[in-house]
Amino acid sequence: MAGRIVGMISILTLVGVAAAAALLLGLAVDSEEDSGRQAALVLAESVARSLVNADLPSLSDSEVNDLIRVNVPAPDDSDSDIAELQDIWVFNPQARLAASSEGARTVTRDEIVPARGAMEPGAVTLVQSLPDGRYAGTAAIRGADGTALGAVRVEFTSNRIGTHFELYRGEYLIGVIAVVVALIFVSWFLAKRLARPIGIMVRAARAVEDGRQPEPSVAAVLRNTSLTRDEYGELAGVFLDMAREVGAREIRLNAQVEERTVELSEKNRALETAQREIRNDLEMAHSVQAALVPSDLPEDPRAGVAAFMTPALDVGGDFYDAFLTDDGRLAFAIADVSGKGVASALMMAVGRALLRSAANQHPDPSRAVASTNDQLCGMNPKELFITAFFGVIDLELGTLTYVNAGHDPPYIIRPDEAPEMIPHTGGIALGVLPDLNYTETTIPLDAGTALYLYTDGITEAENANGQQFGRERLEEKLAGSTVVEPKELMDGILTDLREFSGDAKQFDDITCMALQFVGGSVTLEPYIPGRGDARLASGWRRMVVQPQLESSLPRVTAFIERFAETEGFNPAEVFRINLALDELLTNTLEHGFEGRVHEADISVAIRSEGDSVIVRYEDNGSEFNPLQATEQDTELELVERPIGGLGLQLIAASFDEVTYERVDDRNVTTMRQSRESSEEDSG
Amino acid sequence: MVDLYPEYDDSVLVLNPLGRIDGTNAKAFEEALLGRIDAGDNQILMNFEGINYISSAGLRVLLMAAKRTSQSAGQLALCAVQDHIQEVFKFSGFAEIIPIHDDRPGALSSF
Repeated sequence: MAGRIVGMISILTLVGVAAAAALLLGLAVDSEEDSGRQAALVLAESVARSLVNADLPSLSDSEVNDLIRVNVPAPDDSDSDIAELQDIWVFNPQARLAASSEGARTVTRDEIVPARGAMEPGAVTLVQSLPDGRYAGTAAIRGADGTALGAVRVEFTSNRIGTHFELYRGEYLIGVIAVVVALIFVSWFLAKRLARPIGIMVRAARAVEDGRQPEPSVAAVLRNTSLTRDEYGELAGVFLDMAREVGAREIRLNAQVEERTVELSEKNRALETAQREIRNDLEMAHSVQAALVPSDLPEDPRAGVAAFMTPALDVGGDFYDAFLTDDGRLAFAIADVSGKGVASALMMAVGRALLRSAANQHPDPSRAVASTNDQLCGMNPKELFITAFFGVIDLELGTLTYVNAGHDPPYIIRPDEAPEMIPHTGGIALGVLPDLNYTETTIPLDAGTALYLYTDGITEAENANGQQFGRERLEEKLAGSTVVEPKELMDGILTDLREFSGDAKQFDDITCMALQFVGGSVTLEPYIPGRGDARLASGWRRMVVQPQLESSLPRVTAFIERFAETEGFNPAEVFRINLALDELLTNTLEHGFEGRVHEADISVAIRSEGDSVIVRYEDNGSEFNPLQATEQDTELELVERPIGGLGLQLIAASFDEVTYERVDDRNVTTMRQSRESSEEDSG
Repeated sequence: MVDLYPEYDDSVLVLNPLGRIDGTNAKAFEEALLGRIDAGDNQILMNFEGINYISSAGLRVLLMAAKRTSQSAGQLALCAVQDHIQEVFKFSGFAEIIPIHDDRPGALSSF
């Protein structure tokens, strides 16, 4: 590449250096070029030449004076260096003054020495600078053969006083300024030439950096620059190549990003679709699971059932079931299918259906469970299994027969006793191995006994700190519960569980069931210290009554009917007992609890004693003696008869003997009726 | 709502309730029966053939109905009352103030 820029800079430098050198030289030769000295030389030689043919020894002073007139320039000749020719001296070869324009005078050493010097063979004209701007020139007068005939000295005042530099200061200044201006101009031009392409490239580089194309004007300049054959041309060419490469790369990258983005969004869409499908499947499985547990629980006055299930978000396989078998027993089950997801939910559906049908085919729970197990083993490709507790309550006999197939033991809560685990029967989970025998156990149920069944979704529910609800906490809550009514018992535990879990995620299905055997069977009420008459210790049948007339009244009725059936009472006797209890219960619930019905503790007990039947009604409502409230005059005319107060009167009329006592803040009403008299009455 | 299975025999409204009348349904029974009286019926025969249980809550409703009908010179009577129910009417003194007939024809002839 041609070093044009380098060349230009070099030239510029040379010009500068030359100008400076010229200036310095000018100053250096200043004295030599003194025009006064030159004039002295010329004048001295000119006068010497004019005297070559003169007779020097006879030369008179006046003749010399004439020479002055001859050689003095015209007064208006300002170009001449000589302002005034003052003296001309002529010396003989011995350097003695021959003649002078001033006449006779003393010659000094300063005048003799130059004259002598000039007359030396081969010597040149000598020039002297004198004070006051005067100059002196001394030239030899030589004959044709070169011998010195004499010497002449001229003295004059110079027209131009000072050195050449001093005299031509203005010209020097102008010259220097011109050079400086020229340098500045050239520099500016060069700088512009140097800077402009750089500025253009900076703009172009910015554009490239921002991912834009350089502006057309910029690009045009760059292209033009790249055509020149200097360093900038080279740089611009390289830059243009680079910019093209960067642009191309940018485009390639953008295309790749675009491509990847499209791929990604397609994959996202596919993922969303898949997720939606999974979610739909799960939601469906969820609702299938929720729909597969019975919404209608059996209603029987002899037993209450409540159950609850919340499937976990990812669908587990819990289920519960409760139904009356074809022969009128209450069958119930709670179960947990291993694993999660649709397979578990399907297994649960199958398991529940099999168990229900087996329960109707086989009166023995152990055989029902074994049959269910065999069938499940035959259709279990996923190797799932079901832990289950299956029980059947004989509502007539008051017994619970159950099989526990690997499930968490439920709790039994006998009246006024702490909850206890129902002893395990040692069965293994369903669906694991076929042809197994399952053991069943039968336990008696006292009236008022409650059962609480659950799945591990309850005990393993976690709170925000990762602590589990746990069996101990469950037992504590069950023991602390003051209610045994199934729904209330169950809801109480669920409330405790929710308080415990807070906002923590529910990992597993939460399933539980509560049952209460109300009564109607032949069971003994154990003696309860501090609860009234010690005679309750034996022979009594007792039920706890919930403070809710609509649900309790049918249960009390069923309880009495069941008792009456075993004792052979006639319908009239049953009716009277039921009527009395109805009236007492209605009265208690209407007046006894005034806003604290949740504290109600009401029970009914009955026993045969010889030929009599004794009915005992207890409540912890406000003190109320039914005997004092029966003073209504039944003889009043219809229009005068007040409405109300009849029921207690009916009680008094229905029994031979009614007694009331207040024991331990409880109203205890005891009614006794002789069997024989009632039979007589009923006729 | 308790169904009273109403029918008319001449000007007499015959009501044929079934089952139990106790504290759990007395209110509905009251609304149904007094509704009839408010609608203008004041000759009413309650056929108790199908009633196997009545408590004081039911008796109260009957008493209210009897008062209302007598105020408008009408009458409330019962018939075909089962024995143990009859006992209740006897104990409560209601037998003295609400006519109780053995059967429906006898009752109708008394209106």
